[in-house]
Amino acid sequence: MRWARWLVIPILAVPLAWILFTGLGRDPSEIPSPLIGEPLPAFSLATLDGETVATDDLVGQPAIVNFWASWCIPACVDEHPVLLETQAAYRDRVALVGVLYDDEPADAREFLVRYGDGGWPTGVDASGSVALAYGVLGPPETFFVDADGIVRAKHYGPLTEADMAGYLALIGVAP
Amino acid sequence: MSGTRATAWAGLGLVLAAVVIGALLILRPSAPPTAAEQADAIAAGLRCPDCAGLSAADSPTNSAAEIRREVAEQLAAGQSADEIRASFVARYGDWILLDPPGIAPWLIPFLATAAGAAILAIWLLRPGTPAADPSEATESNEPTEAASVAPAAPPPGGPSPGARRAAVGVAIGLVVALAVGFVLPEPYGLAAQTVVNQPLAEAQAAEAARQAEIERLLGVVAADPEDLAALSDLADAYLAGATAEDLQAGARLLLALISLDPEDPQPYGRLITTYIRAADWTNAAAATDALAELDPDSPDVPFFEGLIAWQGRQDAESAIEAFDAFLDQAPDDPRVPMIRALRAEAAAAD
Repeated sequence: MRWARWLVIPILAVPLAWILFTGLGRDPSEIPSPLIGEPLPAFSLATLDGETVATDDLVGQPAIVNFWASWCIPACVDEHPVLLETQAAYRDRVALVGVLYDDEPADAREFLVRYGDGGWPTGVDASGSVALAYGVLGPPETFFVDADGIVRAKHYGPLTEADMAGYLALIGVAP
Repeated sequence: MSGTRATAWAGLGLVLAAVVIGALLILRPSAPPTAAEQADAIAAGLRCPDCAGLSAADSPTNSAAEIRREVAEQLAAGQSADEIRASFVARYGDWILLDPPGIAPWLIPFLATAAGAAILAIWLLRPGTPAADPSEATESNEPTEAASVAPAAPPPGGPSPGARRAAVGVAIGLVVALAVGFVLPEPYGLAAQTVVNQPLAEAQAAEAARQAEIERLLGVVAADPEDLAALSDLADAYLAGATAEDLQAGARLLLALISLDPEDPQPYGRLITTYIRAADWTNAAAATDALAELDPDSPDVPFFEGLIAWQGRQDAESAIEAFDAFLDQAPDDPRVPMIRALRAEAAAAD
């Protein structure tokens, strides 16, 4: 049975190598959000237009909560056309809400002038308490909420059209 | 062979000692902390969401400040440290905790060291293959006597005594170094906090002192709103800060000083410097014009004109003209080397 001892090396090395290879290949910021399956954290914020946006307004319809900033370049610029298209196509079926993350309202308005204002409200999270409640690491991050107000998905980084289609289906918005 | 065996047991003993010392260091008790210390300790265990590898206590970002504020608020509301940590885990997951939850991750290094030592000990203490070398088999039964009859040649299947001694020596050396590293006081020991945060702690202490000074001077000024010296000191205290609010408050105070004593050119230089720091070029230029009217011969006038032209408008030609005027008027000014450097920079761009 002396040969059996040579089995020890692969038995120890293979799982270790597997853990390292799979673990090191993952993006450390893509941690699963504990909010998924939970009700969306409530907030009420003054918007860039001087109005108010609140989670209470979102009840009864699917919603997208998008954390962004004018300094978040290029990611927020990259995903902006996707948000504009979503707003144009699904305006009546999904509520799109922006939350301004660690940014000056004036800079955010300038961003919208330059890249297009789709007309959805952006709440100004001056203290960062809403971002904290949502467990935001850095913009862009987007939460997808179903009509019952339950968070169904969280997306890290810029959204592509394909991402958006998948998430919309998840919160019950069929194309 | 008994010498090797004794050294191996000694090595095993040292490993166990290191494990015990490590466990004691981790579990050692300390004095009950104040509320601020408690809040700080909780924030120090929470990861700053938007920076790499810093705790919320050590990071200057907005979100870290918000975490500190919420921790203090929840503590004041009577929540326990565990409840506060749990509220953050509910939003960010275990990721937010800098210290991994549970005791297992802390024990793994010690268990791994102990397992390694055990494997080494078994390897060193095992008898040679009986069929190949009978003398090794007897040795395992009578270790003390076997030492004198140990074979000169290494038993097949086992390392030579020299290699064994070397391996044991290296292992003991590593274990001793590990143990010493844990016992040594900060900042030399392995148990020390990261030294990288030291300058930040100093900056935070300086900031706290500055805020205290601002509070004190605000009191003085409230008692006598025309106390020029206190107003001036208060402006300096604000201007020692870095935020836009600090600069605005400093500029307001300097404007107040100027309105109280319009003939004194001294606050103008500070006001213009403040505007330049805030990159408010319009106001900086206006204040420079006002200074030029009040004191036309001051070398400060071309000094600031040059700075505003070069840094504000990238207008190299006007900047060089102003710098030259300054160098003419004040060849012995301590700011001459700085202006020479800026002039060279502008000349290179012209």
